[in-house]
Amino acid sequence: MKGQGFKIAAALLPGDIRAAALALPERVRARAEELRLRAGRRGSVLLPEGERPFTARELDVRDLESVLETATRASAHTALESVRAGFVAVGGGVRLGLSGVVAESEGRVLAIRRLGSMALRIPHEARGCADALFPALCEGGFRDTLLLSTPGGGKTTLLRELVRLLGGSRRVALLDERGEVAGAFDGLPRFEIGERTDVLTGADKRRGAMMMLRAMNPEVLAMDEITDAADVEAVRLAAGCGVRLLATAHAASAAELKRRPLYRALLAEGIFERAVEIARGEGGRSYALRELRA
Amino acid sequence: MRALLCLVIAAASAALGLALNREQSAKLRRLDALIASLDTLRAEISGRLTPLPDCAEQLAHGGPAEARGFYACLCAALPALGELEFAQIWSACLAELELPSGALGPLEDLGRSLGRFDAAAQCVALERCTASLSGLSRACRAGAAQLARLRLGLALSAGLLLAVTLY
Repeated sequence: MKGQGFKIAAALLPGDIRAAALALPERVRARAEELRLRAGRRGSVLLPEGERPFTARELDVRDLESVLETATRASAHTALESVRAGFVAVGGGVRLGLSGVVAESEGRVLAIRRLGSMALRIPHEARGCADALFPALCEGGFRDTLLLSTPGGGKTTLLRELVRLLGGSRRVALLDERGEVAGAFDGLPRFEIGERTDVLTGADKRRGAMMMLRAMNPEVLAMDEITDAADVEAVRLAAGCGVRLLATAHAASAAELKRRPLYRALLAEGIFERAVEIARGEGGRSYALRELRA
Repeated sequence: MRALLCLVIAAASAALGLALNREQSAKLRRLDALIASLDTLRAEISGRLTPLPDCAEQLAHGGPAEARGFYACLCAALPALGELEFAQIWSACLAELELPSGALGPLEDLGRSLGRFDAAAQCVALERCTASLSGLSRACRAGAAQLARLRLGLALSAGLLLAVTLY
């Protein structure tokens, strides 16, 4: 799977842009986190140190439409719900984020009428990145844990690795709404996620949590990105069912988490006992384990 | 010897007429198969939101026999998405099909709608196309028997005329 993410992302690009992406040196491709495409600008690659252009020409709306058509396999009807949510899950854990002019009716997003920019998120499998953290998380039994970082900080990568480690000895149900964690395509995970891990892709977290709890009898329920009230509700539902929880949230630290109303209620209920703060430094990412319950 | 030659010329002309008729009825069978396949496509899109490549795959293997070649062509060409738009791929595969005149227009219009909108809008486009093609098929069939006799008669007459002239 190593290096496949970049190739899968590049395969969605129109001919000359694809050639420019594939012509990037291997060391750039290996570190690429996203390919950013904006109408009227040159395409750029997002690296840990920042963005750098990789196309000679400026992109236009037709380029973006072509990427969307390829990403949805020319099947808007299949992908429309996720397009309305602003993303398309592509095979291999690649996610296409969308931005532009939204068409709304009666408070509901109908479609993205005119595309303005796109971000092709490239997944990274960092096998071994949680080797030091995992024993600490399991000491005295695995407890409900939240993984925290700013966007692009490596939450999904750490979640994938923890799911793999937990799934080696426990039944893990992975709610992979956007298909990013397992990189599932046609129902088959492309990443190594553990022998005993079952993946549900496509369903929202609330419905997905109920489906997995009813059908798969998990010991651990893992989910990516608690971002809205419906996700919080999913966590509440699952918390009362006797499973351990592992989830991610956008926040730089536990202190920042407490300042946000959405999470404050969740923390006040004491559902999550611990948080892992992910920090990005010169030498890579570091993890700090914090107790959330006073 | 001359009489035999004349007989051969007349027979060849009649065979030409028959071949033209066979070709026309093959075109009609292909059109009917395409119409039937569009019904399946509509059911897949509206009922299961099946992606178009999967629909094409399914129809290439299990669709009406006369339409399978078209969907096989589509399956083979779909990896070019990104280089070409779906409508261009659809259109290129249609161009390889021999269909009654007037059938290409509605099918190309359909190609510009498929995959671009939600399921309901695509179903409307499919129904519109099916209605046009069904009308065309009925019209072709109504005139087919008459046209077949005319073609055969013309070919035979032309052959006889040539034979008499040569004799």
